[in-house]
Amino acid sequence: MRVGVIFPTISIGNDPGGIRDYIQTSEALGFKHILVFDHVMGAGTATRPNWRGPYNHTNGFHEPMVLFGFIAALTKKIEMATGVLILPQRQTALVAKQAAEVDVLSKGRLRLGVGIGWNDVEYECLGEDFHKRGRRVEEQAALMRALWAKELVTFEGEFDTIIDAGINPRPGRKTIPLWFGGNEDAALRRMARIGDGWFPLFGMGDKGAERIERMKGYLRETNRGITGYGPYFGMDPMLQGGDRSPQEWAKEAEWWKGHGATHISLNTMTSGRHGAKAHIEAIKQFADVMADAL
Amino acid sequence: MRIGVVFPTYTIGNDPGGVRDYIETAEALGFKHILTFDHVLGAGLGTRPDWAGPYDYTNAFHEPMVLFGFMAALTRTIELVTGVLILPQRQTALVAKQAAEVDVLSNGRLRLGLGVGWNPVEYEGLGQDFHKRGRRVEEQIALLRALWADDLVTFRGEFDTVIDAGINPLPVNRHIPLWIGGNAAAALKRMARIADGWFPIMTPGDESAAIITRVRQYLLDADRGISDFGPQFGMDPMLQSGNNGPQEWGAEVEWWKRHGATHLSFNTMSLDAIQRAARMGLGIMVDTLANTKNINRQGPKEHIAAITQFADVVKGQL
Repeated sequence: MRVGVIFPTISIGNDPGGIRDYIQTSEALGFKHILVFDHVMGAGTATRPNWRGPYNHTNGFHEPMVLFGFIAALTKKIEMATGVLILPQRQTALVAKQAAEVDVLSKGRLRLGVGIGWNDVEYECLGEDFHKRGRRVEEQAALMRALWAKELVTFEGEFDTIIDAGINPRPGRKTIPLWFGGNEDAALRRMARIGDGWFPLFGMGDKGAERIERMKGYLRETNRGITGYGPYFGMDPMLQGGDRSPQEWAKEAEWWKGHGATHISLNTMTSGRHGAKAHIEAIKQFADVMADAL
Repeated sequence: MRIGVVFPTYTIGNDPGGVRDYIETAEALGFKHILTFDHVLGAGLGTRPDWAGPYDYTNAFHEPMVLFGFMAALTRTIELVTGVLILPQRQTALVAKQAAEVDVLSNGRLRLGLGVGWNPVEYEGLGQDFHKRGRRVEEQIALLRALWADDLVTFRGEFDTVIDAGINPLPVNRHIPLWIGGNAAAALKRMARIADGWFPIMTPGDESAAIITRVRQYLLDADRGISDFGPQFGMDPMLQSGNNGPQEWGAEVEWWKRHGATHLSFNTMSLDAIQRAARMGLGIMVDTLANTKNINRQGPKEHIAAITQFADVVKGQL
């Protein structure tokens, strides 16, 4: 199981020195990946008194593609993962282009996690259709893979049209692992068909175990020859640090390992930690209890 | 005059070690900025036998926003400049967001040069309307500036709608300089009204001098209280290196300085593309390059050698 950390995007602050310290410490501690959330726009709440979204305009989100350029320059081996990039609100060809650039500058260290999001405000600002996002993401995945694999692509889809054109440079490996987030049945079936891995969004327990099994069932139904989690289809759950002790983190990590997780990512946000130092302290504690896995 | 270099995006190659060496050398030599071109998609030629565009799918373009994240981590003082980002083919709010991120990670070192481009293939691939690009760019500039200045923005335009939403983080100074590229009269007038500076695409000569004079007039006409190039409105011409020796480079730097340039960017890439662009009728004037022999420098070492030689020519000014 590859153990990584979640970049504390909403509470690390805007000091590039602190961000640099966090990134370099993550790699030095032996973590295998840094996972980054994505939101382009935040909604104002004054005009939306019934707002119930998890985030609003007061939450800062570092932009993943630019941040990965920064991380690529500061590290040698740590993997960069989006978890997740809200794909249907972005232009497919530009995501393919920017992901390829990250992959080139990092020598093949990008894992692109995508999802469809929940915030129609962002879709509106970006000029994309919130209601078609499920259908669109599947078409986008096919187009991005074509753009990474081939010099020139012709693609006439429902949402995108490319006639005999391509991106350059392309990823050295001609592909980028494409993972999916989501817990809904439609999302699970989709990722079983076309994904390289899954970010489950729940904690340990019987309900989670049931969903992990259901996902395996969907994988078998697709006839891709994949029967469980492993090199062909990964599972990277989020370990919520919260205010629990590092020993409890390790206990949950063990549970996930027993249930097939190929990766795990520690989230140190939403627990009163502010600034790079507090988050660095937390991941050091995590490194201590996970020493055998790093 | 602030002197910088043009990142040799399509001939530096894909080795990140070489890209890093180039970036770190540019800063160490004292150059004030690195300017980067932008193309998202390249057109195939098999289906387009009459293709006359300056570039096609064989030309690699490093993506500026990701590349600037990379540069921000490797440098401390050098300014990061797009010259130009093709704005109307991108989503406005995402450009605002990514530009702000570059600005934050570089401690306020971004200058965003914008243009409307010439390649309908890219617009189609990105789902945007090539024919409305001139009108769109002006609206986009207003929205970009609002998104950088305010926590929350409400904007109902022809092309974009933002209702009580904003980006976070904002740029360091809640502002990013917006420059415009191009020589066409419509672009120049627009630029004089709303931009912070100009990238002329031309070489020294009488015709170029006449355009510079015209831009001064457009600035006066715009009634912004700006009468000449300077801190409020800059001019950043590109010096095409070709095989011209240090003496000619030095003479060209002096010409631009005399004509009001506040910046200058040294391009070590091949002249082929700029000459093709001139032939396309993009308002680019490079007549004086007709007798200049081309050098097609390949890989970081040859480009580093060229900027090192240039740094020697302008060393009193770096």
